[in-house]
Amino acid sequence: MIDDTRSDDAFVERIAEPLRAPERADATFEARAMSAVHAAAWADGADNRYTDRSWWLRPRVLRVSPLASLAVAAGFVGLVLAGSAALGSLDRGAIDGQVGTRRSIAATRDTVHIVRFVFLDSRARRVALVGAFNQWEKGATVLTTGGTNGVWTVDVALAPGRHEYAFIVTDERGERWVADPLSQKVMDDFGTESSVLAVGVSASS
Amino acid sequence: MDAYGFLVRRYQDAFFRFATRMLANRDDADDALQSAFVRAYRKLGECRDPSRFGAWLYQIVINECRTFSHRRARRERRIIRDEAQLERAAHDPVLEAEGELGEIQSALDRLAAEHREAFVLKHVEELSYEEMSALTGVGVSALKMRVKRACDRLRRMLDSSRSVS
Repeated sequence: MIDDTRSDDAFVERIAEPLRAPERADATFEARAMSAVHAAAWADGADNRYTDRSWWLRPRVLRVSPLASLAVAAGFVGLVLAGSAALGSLDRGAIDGQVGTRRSIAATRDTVHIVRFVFLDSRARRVALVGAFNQWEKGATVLTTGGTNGVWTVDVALAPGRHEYAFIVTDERGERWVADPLSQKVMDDFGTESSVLAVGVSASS
Repeated sequence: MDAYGFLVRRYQDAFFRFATRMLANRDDADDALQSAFVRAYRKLGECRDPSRFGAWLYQIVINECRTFSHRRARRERRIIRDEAQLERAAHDPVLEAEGELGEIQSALDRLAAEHREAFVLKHVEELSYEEMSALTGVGVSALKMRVKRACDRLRRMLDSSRSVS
C-alpha cells in the first residue's frame, strides 16, 4: 500500500512537472483584451441607455397645412430665438445654424414638417443633433433641457424626404455618437451607424 | 480602465497556463481568457473583496474554460459523426507541443472535463483541496475522487501508449 502510494506520487510528479512549465500569452494579448473590454464597456453603455439610465422617443413629425405654416413658422422662430438666448454659451456658429433653419421655414411653400427630437438622459451634460440637414455640424443644433429630469428637446424644420441623423451626447464619460435605436439604421463606409427619419416619404425610398 | 489593464498584465500568464492545460489549444485558451477578462470587467461591481480579486477572477476563468470546453465538444460531435473517425480524432494530439509535454497534454485532453479540471488545479496549479472547493463550488470529497480517477486514467493511457511505442 505504501509502495503503491509512493508509486502514485512519483507518477503524478512525473506527469505534472512538464505541465507546470510556464505558458505565456502572446505579446499582443493585453492590447487585444483591453480592446475587447473597451468594446464591451461601450456596448454596455448603449444597453444602459435602453434600460434604467435613460430611454428614447421617436422623433415626432407634425404636419401643418400651407395656410397655417406662417403661423407655425412664427411660433418656431420664437422658439428658436428663445433657444438662442438660453444657449448663450454656444459659439456663434451654432446660433447662426438656428437662424438658417428659420429661413428654410419661411421658404417652405407646401407643407411644413416640424420634427421634435426628444432625447432623455439624466446624465447628459450636452446633447446635439447632427444630420445632413445641418451638414453634420455638431454645434449647429443643440438640444435644450428644461430642468433636471434629463429631457432634451429640439424642434427642427425638415423638407420632405429621407433624413439621416444621430445624436452627439456629452456626459461624464466624454463625447459619444449615438444612433437612435428606435429608428431604421444606416451604416456609412467607416462603420458608423446613423438613423433614418422619413419625412413625408417612406424611409426606404 | 488603465487600472484594469494593469490587472490583465498581472494575471494573464498565470491564467493562460491554466486555460492552455484545460483546453489543450493556445488559440482557444487565448479566446477563453480574453472572454474571461471581459466578463470580469462587466462584473467588477460583484467583486466584494478587492483583496481577493485574483481568486474571484480565477473562478471566472474556470467557468469560461468550462464553457469553451463544452462548446468545443458540441462542435466536434457535430463535425465528427462517424465513430471510427471519432476514435481516431480522440487520439490525435490537440496540442502541437512535441515530446513528453505533447504526449501528456494529449492524454490530459482525453479526460472528462471535470476530471481534467480537478487534476490541473491540484497537480499543475498546486492548490489545496479547500482552495479548489472554494473556486469550483465542488465538495472536497468529490474533488479527491475526481483527481484519483484522473490519475488512474492518465496512468492507463500513458502506460499503454509507452508499451505500444
